[in-house]
Amino acid sequence: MSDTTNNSENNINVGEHGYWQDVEQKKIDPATLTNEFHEDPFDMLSVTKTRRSFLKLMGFSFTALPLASCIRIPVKQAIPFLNKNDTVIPGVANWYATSFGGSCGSQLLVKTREGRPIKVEGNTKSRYSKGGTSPYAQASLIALYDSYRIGTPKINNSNFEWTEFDRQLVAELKKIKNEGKEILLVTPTLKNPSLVNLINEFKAHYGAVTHIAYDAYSDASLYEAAKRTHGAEGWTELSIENADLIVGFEADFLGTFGATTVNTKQYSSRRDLFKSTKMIRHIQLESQMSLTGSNADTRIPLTVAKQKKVLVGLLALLKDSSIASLGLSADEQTMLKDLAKELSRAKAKSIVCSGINDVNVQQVVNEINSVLGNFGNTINIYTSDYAKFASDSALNEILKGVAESKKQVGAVLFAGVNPAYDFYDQVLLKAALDKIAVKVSFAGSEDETSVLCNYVGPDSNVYESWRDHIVAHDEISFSQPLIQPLVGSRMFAESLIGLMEKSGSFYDYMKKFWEKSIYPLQNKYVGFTNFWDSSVHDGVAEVKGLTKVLSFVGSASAASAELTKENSDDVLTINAYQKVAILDGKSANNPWLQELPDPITKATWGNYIQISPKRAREMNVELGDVLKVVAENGATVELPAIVQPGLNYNSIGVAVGYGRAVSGKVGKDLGQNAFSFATFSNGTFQYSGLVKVKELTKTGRKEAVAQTQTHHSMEGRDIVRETTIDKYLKNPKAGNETKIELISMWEPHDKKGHQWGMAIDLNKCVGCSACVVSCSLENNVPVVGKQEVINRREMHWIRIDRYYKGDESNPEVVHQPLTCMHCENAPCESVCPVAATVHSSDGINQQVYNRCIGTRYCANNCPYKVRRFNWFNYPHEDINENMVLNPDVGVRTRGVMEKCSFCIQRIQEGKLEAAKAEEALADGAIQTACQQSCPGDAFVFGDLADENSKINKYLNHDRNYRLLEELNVKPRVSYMTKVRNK
Amino acid sequence: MKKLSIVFLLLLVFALLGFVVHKGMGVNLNQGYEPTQPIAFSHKVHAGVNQIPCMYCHFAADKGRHAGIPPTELCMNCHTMVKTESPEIAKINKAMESGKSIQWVKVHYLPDFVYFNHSQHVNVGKFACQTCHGPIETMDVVKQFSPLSMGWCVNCHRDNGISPPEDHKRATGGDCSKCHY
Repeated sequence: MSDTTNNSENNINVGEHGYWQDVEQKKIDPATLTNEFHEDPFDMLSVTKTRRSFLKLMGFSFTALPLASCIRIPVKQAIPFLNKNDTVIPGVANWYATSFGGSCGSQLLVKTREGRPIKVEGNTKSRYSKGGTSPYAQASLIALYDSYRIGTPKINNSNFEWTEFDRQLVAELKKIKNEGKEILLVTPTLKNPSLVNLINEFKAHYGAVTHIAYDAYSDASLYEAAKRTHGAEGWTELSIENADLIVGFEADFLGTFGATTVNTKQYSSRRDLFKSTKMIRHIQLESQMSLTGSNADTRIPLTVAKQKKVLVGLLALLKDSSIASLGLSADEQTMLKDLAKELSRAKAKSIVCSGINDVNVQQVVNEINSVLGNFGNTINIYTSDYAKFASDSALNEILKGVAESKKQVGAVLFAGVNPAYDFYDQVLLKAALDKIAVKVSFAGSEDETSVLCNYVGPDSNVYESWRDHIVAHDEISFSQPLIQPLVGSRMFAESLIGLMEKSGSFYDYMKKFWEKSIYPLQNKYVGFTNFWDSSVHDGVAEVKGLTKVLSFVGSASAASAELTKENSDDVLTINAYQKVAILDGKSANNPWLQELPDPITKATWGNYIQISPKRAREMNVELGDVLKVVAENGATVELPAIVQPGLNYNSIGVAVGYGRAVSGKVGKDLGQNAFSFATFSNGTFQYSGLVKVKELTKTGRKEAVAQTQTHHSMEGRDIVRETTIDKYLKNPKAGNETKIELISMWEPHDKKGHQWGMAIDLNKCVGCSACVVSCSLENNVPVVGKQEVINRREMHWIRIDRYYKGDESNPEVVHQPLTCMHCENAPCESVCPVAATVHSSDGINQQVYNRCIGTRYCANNCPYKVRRFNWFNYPHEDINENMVLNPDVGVRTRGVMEKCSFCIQRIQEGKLEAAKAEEALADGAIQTACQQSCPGDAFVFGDLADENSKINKYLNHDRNYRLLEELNVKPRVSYMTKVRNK
Repeated sequence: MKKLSIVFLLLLVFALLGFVVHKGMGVNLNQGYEPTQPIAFSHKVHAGVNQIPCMYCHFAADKGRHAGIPPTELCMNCHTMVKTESPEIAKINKAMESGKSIQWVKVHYLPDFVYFNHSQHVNVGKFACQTCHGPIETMDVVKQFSPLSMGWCVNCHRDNGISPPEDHKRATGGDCSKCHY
């Protein structure tokens, strides 16, 4: 172990390379640093705890198999198809293009086996997501098989047939129409042309229908600002690939804000040093550490209130006005001037964006981009007649009107929204709902809103539905059903058709609409059938004229003036932020997302209070101390603390999406609801930096936070190697000078045939974690649950280590994905007493489950700590949930070690396909699951024996290095140094 | 004399052990398994006498993992004309009418921790079905001809020179993870 030096100012033990792990380290005596691997007493009795027991059901294992191999096999049946569909061949996957409709912009190809969707991959036909996916898209598949879905339509909690549901509800709606009352339809922001068109017909059918779009975590200020500065409501599209400089203000555009998959794709492509050494530069101003901020070249921690001033100042400087009245400190003024200078050097080549949901802020942002000439080059605002934009004030006003009996609303229809959980003012909502007689929910599974409704018409899963989405201004995508509805649900659009007393499916409706309205917008295909079939096949279609680009016509002077007046004193405020994975909490019942570690805090299963290191020291708070926060609006939570480096002293962060009172077994009662910290201000719901903290106290209790990665310390080794672009341009080996060549005691393996290897470009990995979910999905990796994560028994085959460097108030961050390294001199292989882990001829470190007896010597001897032990069986007693398992990969049982296999099933399949076609295996034909799903293209996998392969190009590059080279284990996975543009 | 009897005893013990191990190795193998099927279908008549190609019915043997049990409607391609009066064909008719497929008894069974792909052996290896399944065209009732044990697999791979390292055209070598994953 290298020496650790003592940073006297903050008393943090940092290694010789300056990296440190978390602020808890400052309390650790250097002598105990070697004790990094947590060992709790074996907690067998935890089986009886309810969550644990449940997760055992949720896991991915059968118990019966080992038993079955000990006895004479029972009689098994082979049941053939009665009539076989031509396209279904047992054991051969079919792929269908679809979209799960999330705002991240991932377009998908779904692998189905014998009619069951089992894996989602990126669709390379999309010109925007280009084959990238997000963790949300990857995990969306398990929602299809969720047993918590509502099985039948319900009226006042009794089950009914759809025909009866329609009959009764239509009668009610007609009555309301005749009484002259209003019908309120609440949906999320819709960019679905066919559905919007259908809703318009529904409105015409019933007359007084008000359609309001409501997003739980709203971006309504962007739409409203577009109306004020660009003349119409519209959405913002970034072309990061055309920008040389991107400045984000509280905008987590790689994690939770906007089209994250598309953004990551473009962002990473501009950090690909193989393509160009002209890297994009990224400056992020934010009050708390976001995924995006962790990737910034320059990160400036500032409160939201101060950021508003900086934005106003920036606009003023760009227009050569004074910034004296803003009350900024000298340091802040210097920073602002530098920022303005840098931006004006990148005119028409920069992007300024903000995630602050405030109309004034967004107007100023729009004018800044206009002054810089960015509109039309790197950023555009588009609108479409077929889009319905969220309006926070519209919903707020109508609810107030109803509550105060000024408005007569006879019925409210909720589709895809859950305001009873995520509306900021539950008292107002309840008062309004009490006045509405007919409440209808089209939720797919029971939620806080559906339990308040007297009519519940379950919506089908997106993988059972037809739908279209506007991906970007000139691309429209398809969702097509991949399976018949697993329960008695019906897609919302068909419910609308039913309520209009019309017959026919939404498929027919959509097809007719496309023929009339979409087909004329393209000229690639002649004949509608041709166009339709190709579009359904490709999953995306290029169309022109569906959207309209808006140009800047307004001014942000008034907005600037209002922001100037706002108070930016240093007071402690709350950020109710969206956490990567759980977002607004609609997917709270998704075990894969719950177990996905947050890219920054590495916490799973529940929310917590983020507090800055300085404040933590003042309050003597450490990790896991339960804090009580009382906001000035009276909202209160009591949650454990995480001391978060990079968090502004005057901010605390609490993630929304938790504290679901009505959800399935997975999401229920995890953490507490932070939507109560949102507020309605200046016409929008605001989440960050506005609500002041009245009280922040220690309760004296402790509660464990289920983190996956604080136990990995870099121990002073150069696990991450990095440099800056200037140094790199002078010397490509910069930061990577160390090369250790050692002689080996071991005979080298025979290297004949393919030799598999992987390289991971740290410059392109942003830490989004899509790979982690993708790997779990592909390899039947079980979910272990909160207590087992606390016990450090998570099973992910790929993890992303996060390291901090530098000052704890504003550290630099690195994300490093770690799979099995497939060492040529693998330390695990030499200690296995039963040869259950051995080397293959093509250089893969194989784990043979049916040989493994579970000594765990291999895991102890693994220097990278990538081996995972099955402490329990994770039986799947739920037939529905079993259907998501990959039939080409075994399900491991208790007492067996497992780890990354380089997706051996994909290697085998790729080789077989090439052999069947009697062709040589093409470079890049085999993609591992992590590689395929990565929106940043950070992974390269291929054959080292093929001299012309891409992997060899990476391996022979000056930036290439291997982890813990000094151990001479010769890993087959290598890394490319991180290069910062600062 | 005493020494001799000890040696004799030891030999006996060894012989017994050998017998137990030998038998024990095969305890889970079902070589010769010949279950009665719900329909008295004869491979001898179809594949032997009438020379119907195997892959007419086992449609996926050259396409994927599973050889494929023929869909019930496939039987009716011929049996709408041939032997329509047979009580066995009546069972197929009944299945078609009721919409409930025939539940054949599975003869060949591999545990889940083994990956086997028919198309690999049929297409790439170019092996005849009989190599593993035996003289199926002479069987009235199908029985498991080969032991389907790991030793049997590996022996064949060795005999055919498909042990590691091999080029990708012979996609299976002797590495564990070629079949176990």
